[in-house]
Amino acid sequence: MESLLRPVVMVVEIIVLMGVIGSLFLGVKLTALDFGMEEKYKRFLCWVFMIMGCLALVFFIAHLVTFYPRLST
Amino acid sequence: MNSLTRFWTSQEIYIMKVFLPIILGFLVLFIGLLVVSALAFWWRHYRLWHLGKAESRSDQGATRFKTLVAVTFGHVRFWKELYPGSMHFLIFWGAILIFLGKVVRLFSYPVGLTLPPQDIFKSASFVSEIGGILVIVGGFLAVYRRYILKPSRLETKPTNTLIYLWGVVLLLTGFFIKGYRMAVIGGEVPDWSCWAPFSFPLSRFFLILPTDALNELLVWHRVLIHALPAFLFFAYVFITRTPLQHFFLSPINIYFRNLRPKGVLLPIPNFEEAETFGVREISELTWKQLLDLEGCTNCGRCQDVCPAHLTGKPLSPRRMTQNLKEHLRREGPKLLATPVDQRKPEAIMEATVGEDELWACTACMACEEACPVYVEQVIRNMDLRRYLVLVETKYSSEVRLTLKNLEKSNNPWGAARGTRVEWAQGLGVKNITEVENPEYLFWVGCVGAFDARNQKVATSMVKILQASGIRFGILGNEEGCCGDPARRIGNEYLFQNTAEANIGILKGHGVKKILTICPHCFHTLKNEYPQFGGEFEVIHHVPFLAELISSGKLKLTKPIDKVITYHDSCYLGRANQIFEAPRKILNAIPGLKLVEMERHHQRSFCCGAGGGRMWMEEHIGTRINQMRTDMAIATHAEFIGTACPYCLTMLFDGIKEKGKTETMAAYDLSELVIQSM
Repeated sequence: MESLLRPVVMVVEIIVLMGVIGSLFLGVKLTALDFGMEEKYKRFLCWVFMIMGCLALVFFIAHLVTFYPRLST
Repeated sequence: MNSLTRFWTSQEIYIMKVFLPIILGFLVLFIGLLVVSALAFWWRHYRLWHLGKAESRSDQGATRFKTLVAVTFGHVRFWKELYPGSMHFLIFWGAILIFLGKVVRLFSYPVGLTLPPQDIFKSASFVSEIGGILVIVGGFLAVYRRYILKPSRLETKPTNTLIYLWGVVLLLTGFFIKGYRMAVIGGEVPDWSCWAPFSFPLSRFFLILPTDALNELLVWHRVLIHALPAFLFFAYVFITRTPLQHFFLSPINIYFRNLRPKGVLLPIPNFEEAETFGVREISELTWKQLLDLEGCTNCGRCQDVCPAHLTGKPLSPRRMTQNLKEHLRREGPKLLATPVDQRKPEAIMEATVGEDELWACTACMACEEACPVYVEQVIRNMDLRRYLVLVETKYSSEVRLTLKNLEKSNNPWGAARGTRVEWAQGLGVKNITEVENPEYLFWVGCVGAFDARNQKVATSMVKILQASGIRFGILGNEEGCCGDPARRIGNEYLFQNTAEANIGILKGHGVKKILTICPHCFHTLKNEYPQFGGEFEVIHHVPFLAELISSGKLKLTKPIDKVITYHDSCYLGRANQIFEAPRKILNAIPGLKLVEMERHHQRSFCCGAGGGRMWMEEHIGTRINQMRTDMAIATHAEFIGTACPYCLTMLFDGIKEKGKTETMAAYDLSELVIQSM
């Protein structure tokens, strides 16, 4: 049971964490544009955030696989 | 009770020992940053609004406050559209409840509300839970509408998507944290199933984790995936231009709303000494007009009711306001950073507003009626026209001809002044100077005097007045245009000259009461002439006839066995709130059956002749009068009733253009009354 549940709760955790990261990155991008960053850098920023997002995803997966507590069931 | 105490105590010990200093440090830092962002937000907006010209909007504080409360908390102007109204109501009240619950939570620890959880704490928990559920339901409706239904009036930008995404994350993590908190104790938690109806069931899932792990998850989640994103979310709201700022800006706009009758234009102050007229650049708008731009929520209700937009003209009130808002945010900071004598502001026209867009406005005020936050569009458009007409002299050949006719002949057609009274020949109408103790001056208006179709209306009115034994007279050839076309076109100079001349004539004859058949004359004489010292009791013929009928002075006995639909004129209805009197008249006529069009009363649709459009061609899109006629045809009515000579002309033409002259006819109400007498 635990072997089935643990990956499931970790996936939920990752979805929430990526939601947070996605919101923050999009917020930073829109803030930068709002503060006068030229549109031509938008694509570059998107790529930077996509790469950072992927790195964050890899980190979260590795972190949770290693440190996520064992379930008590 | 013991388990509850243990629940909170165990968390408290854990946090106190390990993370409290870090958490407190972050709290202080982020709250500090948030306060700075909020202050910067208000300071930035305050300075932008003060770029505008002065305007007094501080009168009638009690009325303003009542409107603010009714519109903001009761959503009174939102319910005209049930779906978006309910959606906004749920999100708004959900957010308020979450905020209330959070405020109690924030101060609960120092005042000892949590050990054990006291009633107020549990109530706060319940309030935030319900708030969260309301926001989820409202948010779901909003997402479904914006991304699935996709109404054309909604403009979806990345920031809209971000708000939904961030909102979902904050709500979910908020519920998660509460669930973790309850799961930490491991066993049953009496009461909490009803105080936390959403989080409690969620907490039962978290029981699969051991207590230590839950404690750790709780702390990390609380800080990293809820508190930190929440602080950043508020910072984002304050420092960027997200539409969520309407949460603060729109209520201010509601408070400072226009309390005068709608559509009343203000004179240009110090006309003789002014160096420029109207609005060329953003700083020539008033501070309230600038606030309007910022208060606009981009909801698009105005666009959905704009006759120009719906008939394919290049005007969308929503887009124009949003473009001007962008203009303000682009130009405003530059202007503020430059000394006044060195400023070179960009012109609004062409850069932000197109000429066709501006001239398409019929000044019908449907946009203002629909706007939930009282954004005022018509006066701003007329201010822009004033600049085009008085400074740039940029207008179409039709407008040029109309203005020339008004200047030369004192009527828009250019008919000779001496022919104004020809319509009255043989009717026994006397000049006001020939009537002993006249009760009323009958102000015929240019359309009633010169337009063949509307001359019949003036004639009907004269016959009714004579039949009722009312002492009245006309000004004859002394009457001139009231000035409405000149003012709505933007020639304020011509309007002021016309108004002052008319006031002189009216006062010279000792006129006290004016009766008119034209809502445009009515609106101008009643609401705009007082700006120049012309205080008269002005009555439109519709309430006047309704009064004659209800007092028994007019007996309507002959039946008219027809089905009629009534077209509300913009300047009688929306501007002066006369909606029921015309319907009373129609219901008093035996045999006549009244049916309503799809858009009626406050939501009535313009005939296309307002805002000076009566004297302009419609080169772009379909004709507005045809669209209105289609609405009337859809009711299967045989008659269209109206109480405005402009509307009568437009609907008369619309019926002809639609090939419906065999089955349909347009009448002024006075014509129907005389038929029934």
